Amino acid sequence: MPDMPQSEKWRDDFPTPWNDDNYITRREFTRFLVLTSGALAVGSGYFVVNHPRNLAVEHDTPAKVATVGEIAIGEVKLFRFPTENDPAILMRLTDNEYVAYRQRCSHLSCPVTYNHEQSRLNCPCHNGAFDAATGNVLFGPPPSPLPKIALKIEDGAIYATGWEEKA
Amino acid sequence: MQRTQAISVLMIFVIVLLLIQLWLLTISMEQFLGGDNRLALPTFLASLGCLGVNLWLLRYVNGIDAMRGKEENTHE
Repeated sequence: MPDMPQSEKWRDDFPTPWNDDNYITRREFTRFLVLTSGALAVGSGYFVVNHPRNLAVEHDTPAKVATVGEIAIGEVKLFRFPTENDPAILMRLTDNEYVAYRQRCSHLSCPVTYNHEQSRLNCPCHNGAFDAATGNVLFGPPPSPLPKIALKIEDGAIYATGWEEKA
Repeated sequence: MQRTQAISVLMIFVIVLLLIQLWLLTISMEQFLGGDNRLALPTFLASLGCLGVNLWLLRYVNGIDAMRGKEENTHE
């Protein structure tokens, strides 16, 4: 049998000796983990640079949300306030009682849904609930009430004018 | 064999620190989504600390490689 030359093609494809295989793979994996560690540190830095928005100081110009009688008792209308990136929910609780809230749960920003029979807003993500009339937390993990939107009824139209209380 | 064991130990240390960083990131994110970021700076600094320790451990990984290279040269 002729001697095999040292520069066979397969040696380029498998340059690691069998005995060193565990060592090489773990070394490379450890380096990759350190790289991931850097990415996680950068990710944590994102939350230092970007502050959550303080809704209490945001008062946009009044925005028309709906007309009186547009939604029936127990129904809702979704809208955006104060910007297009802020989902909000308008609810008609009784004949002439309308309330509106930011539609993001104060826990982890999941959208809340209105349940008229229970008179509350439910967060399906972690089973939290808010009182429909006040926005206060009834149960579950939310740490603070839902930010309530101030409404003004004028000439048969409902306007969102700002925030009722500190978010 | 000893090199492989040393790398395994270093890898476990790095994994533990990485899990701590992941936990810190989760805390920051939960606070941010809840409209609060009081813990953002402390968690960021702690995460940077973990990264620093990881980089320090990486020096040992490279050190093991350097030792290996020296041993191979000696054998030749």
